[in-house]
Amino acid sequence: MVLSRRSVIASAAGLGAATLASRPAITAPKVIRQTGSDTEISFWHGFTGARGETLQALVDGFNALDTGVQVTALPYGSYEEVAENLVRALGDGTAPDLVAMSEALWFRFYLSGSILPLDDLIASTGFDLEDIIPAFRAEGQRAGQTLWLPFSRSTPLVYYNRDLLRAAGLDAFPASWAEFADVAPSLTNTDTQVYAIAQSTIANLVAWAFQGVTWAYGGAYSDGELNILIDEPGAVAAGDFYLRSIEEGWGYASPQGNQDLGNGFAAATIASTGVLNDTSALAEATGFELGTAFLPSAEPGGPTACPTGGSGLFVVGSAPAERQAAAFAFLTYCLSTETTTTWAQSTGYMPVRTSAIESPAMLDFFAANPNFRTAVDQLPVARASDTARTWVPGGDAIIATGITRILVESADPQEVFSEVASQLEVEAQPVRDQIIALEGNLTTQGTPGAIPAATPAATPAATPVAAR
Amino acid sequence: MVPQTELSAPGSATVATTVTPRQSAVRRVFRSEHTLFLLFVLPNLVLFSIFTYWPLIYNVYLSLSTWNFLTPDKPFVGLDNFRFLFSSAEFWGVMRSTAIYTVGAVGGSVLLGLSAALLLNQKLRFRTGVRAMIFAPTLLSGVAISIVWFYIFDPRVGLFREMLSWIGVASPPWLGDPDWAMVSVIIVYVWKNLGFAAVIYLAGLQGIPKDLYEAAKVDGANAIQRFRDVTWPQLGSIHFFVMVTSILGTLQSFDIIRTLTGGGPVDATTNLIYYTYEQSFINSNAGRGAASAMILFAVMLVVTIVQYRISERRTHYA
Repeated sequence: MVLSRRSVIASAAGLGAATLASRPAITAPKVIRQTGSDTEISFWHGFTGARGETLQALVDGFNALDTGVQVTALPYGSYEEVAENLVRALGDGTAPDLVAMSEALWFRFYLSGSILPLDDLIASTGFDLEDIIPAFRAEGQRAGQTLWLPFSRSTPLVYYNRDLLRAAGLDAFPASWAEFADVAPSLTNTDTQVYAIAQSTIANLVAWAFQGVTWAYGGAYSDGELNILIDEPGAVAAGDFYLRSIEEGWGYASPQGNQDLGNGFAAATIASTGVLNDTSALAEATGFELGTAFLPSAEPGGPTACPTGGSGLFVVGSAPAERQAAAFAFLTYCLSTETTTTWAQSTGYMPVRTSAIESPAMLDFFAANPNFRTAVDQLPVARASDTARTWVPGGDAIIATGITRILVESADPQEVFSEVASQLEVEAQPVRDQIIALEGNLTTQGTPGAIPAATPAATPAATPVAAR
Repeated sequence: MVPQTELSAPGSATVATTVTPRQSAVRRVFRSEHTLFLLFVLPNLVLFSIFTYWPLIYNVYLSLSTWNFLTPDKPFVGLDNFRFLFSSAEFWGVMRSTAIYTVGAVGGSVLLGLSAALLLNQKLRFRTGVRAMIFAPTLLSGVAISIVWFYIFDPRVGLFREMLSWIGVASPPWLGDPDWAMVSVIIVYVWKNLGFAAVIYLAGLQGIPKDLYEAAKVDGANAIQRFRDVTWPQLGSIHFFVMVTSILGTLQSFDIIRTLTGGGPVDATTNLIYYTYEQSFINSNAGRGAASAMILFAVMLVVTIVQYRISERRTHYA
């Protein structure tokens, strides 16, 4: 099937209609119904283009239901813009009621007390929390409270050009970086400017993608108590691998990795599941077979892990109780089995409910589009990013700059990560102080320690499949 | 009630005889120069106070505090934010990038703007159309043109790659390499600013008296000599104006960098205003962002004072 923007929107509209027809009983809490008129809430998100249109279709679908809640969605250009504007809005009293916030940006709002713990609303509405995929659920929990729930979740994947790999004698992407490095020179042709791997330098992707590589090499950016570890041997070994790809000439730094892959200039790249639709369309247009695979381990048979990404929904703590309840009603709709299925199929994000992954609609979709399955299969080894990236304001950018220095300046990883560690240390201290002020100590009380650490790669990398 | 005739003929003798003592007092007050001055100035003063002076004062206060925008209190930290910046290698890298960007963008604007103006000052066919084309980028959105340039710079499928291949040259990694990324943002800025500089230079060229050229010709000056000895010195104040406005423009240049490079790679294209944005809104460090803004303010103040002094001298000289 050709996954064009038009077909995605059409299918979203169709699924939206199907959702309405077979919708679960979305009912507004009593507090809303008693008012006798609709409660209007505002919802901020960072989805534009086809995704923004799909989300607006979901919002329109909700507004057409008789729930007593009307939602006005306001799209910003990115997760970062949502966060920037929310900071401003919290200051001047114009904050929305519900926000789709990046997993890398929510923590500061927790520390400032801007997020409403959802436990009471979950209990009073009978929201099925247990059905939410555990890795995602745990990420939004802290100090025994559920602060946000997953919505548009993704993981990094290896995207690869199966035709190029086949020409080099490979049926699938290697399960370890060591094996990939062995074949990488044969995937490279400097005359045609085709390289084995495009190492992405896209701003908000670099540190996230490298997180999985770091874990594979036994390293970490930090621990759950915000001790900085990026200058220790594991992360440095991952940096050495990136540097090796540049120095040996089979890898290159690219500000648009998935586009280069889609245009046939790279045999592989690491990118988010969220760009699966776009990359599939590019591969289709270029005329090659696209494959997706787990993030590899460092050595054959070694442990592998990948970070979760994307965004979740939280209710703003300063909103009046009536609007908080209304926002939760809309959140419940967004996270229903049917809606999460629609959203996942339209965007490439993962369904957030176990029941959605196992639903006939999703199983049929996976059968027709096996590339979409890879991220779901990778979930057992998925966990939240290290705290230095997600808790420290600017932490993601500091780490990303360091990695980019290795890629574009061939800088020594140990040297770079020592500098990065010093910078992170300075920025982390105020966060530690805030956590202690809020919780009394730095002991991990929720994410990310709740998810198991790197797991041996028992499952082979996903079978390569065609884009169509 | 005041009769209609009095209203329709203010200032007439009839009116003067019917003015009440109270109206007369009001007129006296309004005749006072100070009151009149305040009346004219007050609306602007109020607006400037709210939108310029107060934010400036508040920014000074923030630059001496530490605040993440979310906590209710903003502890006073004295000059700590400035100390942090001045002892940070990253900050000095940003100052270096700002200087390179400014010199490159201003130099390019002056040279190419003057060249374009000299060309447009000739009697050419389609001159009006060409003038409009050169000026058009000035009016376009920086974000929109940056998106277009992103694809022009693409080293694999971009327009520049195609054009360079005609002469057998491989495309450099325009946006992927720190040095080339700086070149790229300068190219885009100059392209966008070219029309403005050209229009100013064109006005300057057309203001040079023709008899100067005729006299030079009579004296046997060739085209290069006429340019060197007549055109260039006669454009003195224009050079100055284009340079100062371009310097202030580049120091405030944000949209192109935000869209095209995001300040990267490796902070190579992070200028002072982008750094201020990063510190404030990405790192949520209002104090450090405010301190960075104060430094930018100081730099721009110096440029403005120099401009003011020199233009004042030129005016007196004229």
